[in-house]
Amino acid sequence: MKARLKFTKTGPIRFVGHLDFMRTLQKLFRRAGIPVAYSEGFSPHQNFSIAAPLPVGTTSEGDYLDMQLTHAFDKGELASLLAKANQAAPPGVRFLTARILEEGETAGMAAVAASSYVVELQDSLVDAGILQAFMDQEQILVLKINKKGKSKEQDLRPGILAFDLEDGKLHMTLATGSVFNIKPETVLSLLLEFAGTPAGQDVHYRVHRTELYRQADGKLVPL
Amino acid sequence: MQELRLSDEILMHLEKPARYIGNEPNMVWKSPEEVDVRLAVCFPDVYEIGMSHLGLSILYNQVNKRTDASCERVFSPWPDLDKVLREKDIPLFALESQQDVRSFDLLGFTVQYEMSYTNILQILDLSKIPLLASERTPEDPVVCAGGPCTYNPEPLADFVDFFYIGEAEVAFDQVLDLYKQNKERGGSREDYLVSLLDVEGIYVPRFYDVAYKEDGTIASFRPNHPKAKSRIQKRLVVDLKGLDFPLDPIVPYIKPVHDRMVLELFRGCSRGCRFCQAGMVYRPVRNKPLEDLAAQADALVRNTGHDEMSLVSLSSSDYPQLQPLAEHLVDSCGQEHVNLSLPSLRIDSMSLSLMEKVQDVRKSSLTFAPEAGSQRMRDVINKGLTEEDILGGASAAFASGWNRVKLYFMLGLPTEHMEDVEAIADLSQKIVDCYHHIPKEQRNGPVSVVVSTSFFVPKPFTPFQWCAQDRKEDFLSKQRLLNGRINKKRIKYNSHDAQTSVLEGVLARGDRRVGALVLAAYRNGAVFDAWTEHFSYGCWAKAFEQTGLDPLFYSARERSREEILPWEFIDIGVTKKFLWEEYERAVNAHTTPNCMVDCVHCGAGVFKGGICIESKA
Repeated sequence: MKARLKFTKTGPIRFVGHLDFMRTLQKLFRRAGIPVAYSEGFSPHQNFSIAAPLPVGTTSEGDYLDMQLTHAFDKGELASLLAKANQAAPPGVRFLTARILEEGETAGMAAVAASSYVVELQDSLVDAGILQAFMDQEQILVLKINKKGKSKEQDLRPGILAFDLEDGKLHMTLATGSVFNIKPETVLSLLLEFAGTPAGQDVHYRVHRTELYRQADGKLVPL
Repeated sequence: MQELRLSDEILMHLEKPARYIGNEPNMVWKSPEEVDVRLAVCFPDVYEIGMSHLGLSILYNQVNKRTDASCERVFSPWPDLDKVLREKDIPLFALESQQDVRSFDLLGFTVQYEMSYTNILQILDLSKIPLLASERTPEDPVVCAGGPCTYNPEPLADFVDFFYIGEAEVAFDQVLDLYKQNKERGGSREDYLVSLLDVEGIYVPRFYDVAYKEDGTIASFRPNHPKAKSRIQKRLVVDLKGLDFPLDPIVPYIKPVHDRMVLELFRGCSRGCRFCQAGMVYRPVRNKPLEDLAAQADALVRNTGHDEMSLVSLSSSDYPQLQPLAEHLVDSCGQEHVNLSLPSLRIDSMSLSLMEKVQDVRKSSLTFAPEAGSQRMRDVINKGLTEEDILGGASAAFASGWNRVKLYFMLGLPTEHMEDVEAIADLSQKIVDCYHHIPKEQRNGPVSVVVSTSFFVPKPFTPFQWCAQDRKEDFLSKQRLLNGRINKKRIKYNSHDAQTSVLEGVLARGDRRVGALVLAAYRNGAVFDAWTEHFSYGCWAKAFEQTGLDPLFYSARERSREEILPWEFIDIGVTKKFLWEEYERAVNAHTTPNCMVDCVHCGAGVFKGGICIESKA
């Protein structure tokens, strides 16, 4: 049986990179006695995967992992599993919800279609007007360099699903996944360039992920 | 959760920001207001090294158990952060509270290797604590140090307010109690150091004067305070039964060099290898009871979530109950998907059958440490290993499916001749031949033999403490000879840096004057000397010139029986008489039985514990 856990990664642990964070989770699950299944083979490892790895420095209150459990669980057991995991979790990591995945449901990593972020800028470098003008562009072209070293233009505009300014913070929902993936930092630097911020200026900002989404009946729903 | 001391902008530009954020699982955090004594313990190297050290974890556990004291960690900032701290004038901070090191009551260093001495100065410097003990003010922490290198404390005497000689469990609590009492009394820094003179095992350098003869050797070493003892006896836990052990150690986020739980089997070593300082200073051997270890192992698995457990000791095969312990661990660890690692085993049929049970033979390599190539040389160092043992072990290992072997040797051992060096190549070749003697169809691919040599560094409190160390040129010619003789088709050869080994020799047997050398080297830019990529001999060469000290006086000079050695005011139990007799036996290639076979009255019996009082089987 597979379960999907929603969790946070906030505070100092934001500086722990993805691979180290995976090791941290493995140890956490062992301390908590979570019955996560192990893979076969000579060096068995815990069978779980994170839907969309966070970059170092980015915090999140809406990350997900799918885990294979050793046996079937009911809802009550799942709640106690969550409590045990929280007890063993380091500061900044909280497991918020757990749901049992339906038979044949797409894995989180493949299902994720979009992410929403809040970007906190230290200085008020943009206003609502600039943001509106930025979004009114028909195309937002960037040069993308592929693995062979060839560059190709890509239009990011269709992947910027929402972009607002609230309380001085930028809220954005961006396409995420293997087909179309946009990083919040990319959008931010395009916006700053559009706003006329001089290149090379030290811009201080913090990125916080609020939710991951999948497509369901043509709509985005939380993973 | 504590606010981090470094801004996101700084952290994001560091190679591994997680070295500086603390907050790991099992970290102990206490508000500075709730305790009377605050200790910062420092391993003067980078986080991943320091977090692999058991001693630090023991002290952290011991101090944090007290409700009136707290213990926090400090490590050397890697050069990327070192640069930022200096440029932006940010004082160094401890990981737990993220507060300035300088705000602590005590700063304790664990000194594990000589090449970390300049990092001690780096830590003090970045913390804005005066480097010289004599220049510290009431606002500075009292700086103390312990660990194997402090059995010769003299090269660090200028920088350290007091040394704790021996195992922390015995009297470190007393050290904290005295601090607290002195603080309550409103006593001065000096008052505290004087009060420490009542504690056995504490050495306060400022209460001793050294005078030198014209030839540079020591004329006298005398206390200058009525309470200062003329001999400092090391502290040692006589009976390890029921001894507190850290069962919920911190679990680092980033991978430390040893990413695993450790179970300490025993302290000391009965083998009596004559080059080995640990084998002498940690005498006598004291075993931990099997029941304690089994319970500790279970708790460690539950509390850390690590997937590997390592047994630590100086020679694991000598643990009397290794077999039942390993069986228990294989059983309980197997259920929990925990791998067992067994370093420091002598390779024989028993250990091989044990290793087959716990390791994947096809993936692991076996390590042999014959230390010397010829039998004569192995007898000189009292290794207690014959060529038959070595080749028998290798053959048995190859027959069990291993095909990768690592061999460790030393070059420059006392009385070494060129034929002893050549014997290293010959012995290595014989091991390769052992592999080819097993039938082709039983072989597991081609054999891989890696030979590594280090250069011998005479250490205090060993029978070789009087020896002249080889000069750099001798080391290099021996290295060249060996390199030319090794059959490179089957054997890979690695060697240490000769220059580093000579410097290590100077620092290991240095006297108080060597402190000025360390300081000058640090001022010249030396730091992270243990890291090949950071070691710069230029900084040290210049320091020798600036201080007028001659490296060869410390490294390449043979000492006489009569000479006052800089460290001999420390009493490790093992007597100078015994060490000298061992030295004489060594040069004649006479071996000495190990403690399990016969007592040779080394002096460690004075502690009335461990193997010294147990009946011999």
